[in-house]
Amino acid sequence: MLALDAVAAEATGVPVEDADQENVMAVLDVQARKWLGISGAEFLSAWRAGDYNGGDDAKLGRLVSTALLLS
Amino acid sequence: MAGRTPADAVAAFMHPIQEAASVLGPCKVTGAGEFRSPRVGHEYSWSLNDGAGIKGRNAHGVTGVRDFYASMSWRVVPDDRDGYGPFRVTTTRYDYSLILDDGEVWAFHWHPEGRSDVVYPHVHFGSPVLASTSPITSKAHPPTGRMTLEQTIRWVLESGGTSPFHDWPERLALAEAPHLLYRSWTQNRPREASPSGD
Repeated sequence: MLALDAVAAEATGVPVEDADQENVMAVLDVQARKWLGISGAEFLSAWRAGDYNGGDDAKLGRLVSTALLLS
Repeated sequence: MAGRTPADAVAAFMHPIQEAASVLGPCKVTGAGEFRSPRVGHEYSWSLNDGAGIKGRNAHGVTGVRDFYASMSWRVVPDDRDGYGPFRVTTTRYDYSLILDDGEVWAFHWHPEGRSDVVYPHVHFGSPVLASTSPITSKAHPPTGRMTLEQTIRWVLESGGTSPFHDWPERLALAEAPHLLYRSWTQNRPREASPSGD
């Protein structure tokens, strides 16, 4: 953890951490199934292929936000 | 926020985010890639709790779940203006939303460099707040001006959310102040400022 944000983590109780890749993928899968009816892997593949270009709604925004945590 | 090094700029950027998020209770800010030792100009992202958001219950005895999601993308850029650098973080995207049971209450978006044609800050409202006679639909993109994380957390709390801190208004005001002082745009980012402008 960065020295400065370690101080902030101590003061706020909110740490800054590396995203857990396995957990992010699990979260993405739950979200994609709930909001789009497809698996997280299917969403990731379609998103990276540009299938959602031009789209903008709240559910898609949250899925993209989660997907952006994947390296 | 300014820093002597890119890493210092990231720490200065994250601190108010940690302060603001703490108002909603225990959580973590999770980032992707080598954001602790950032490459200048490279885009990074953070979300709350690995993208899962903060889970909550409605206040005032109202049953149901209410989940708050927050995410930003950002870059470290050089800035030789006095007090702004030599390095600082500029945000390139934000996405904040509140869900009540399975429906969006609201979602604040700004994604000028994304895949959508809607490049100005805007809001989506969902069925829990849209009457059948509403002139706005969930597909509309009403412009909002730049929304801060702190302002959306105020929306969460005004929407029946709770905070473990009685002084949450002051905490949010303090967290928000540096951003309000140093930001260079309020309604919509000037085209000529992209991508290094804030």
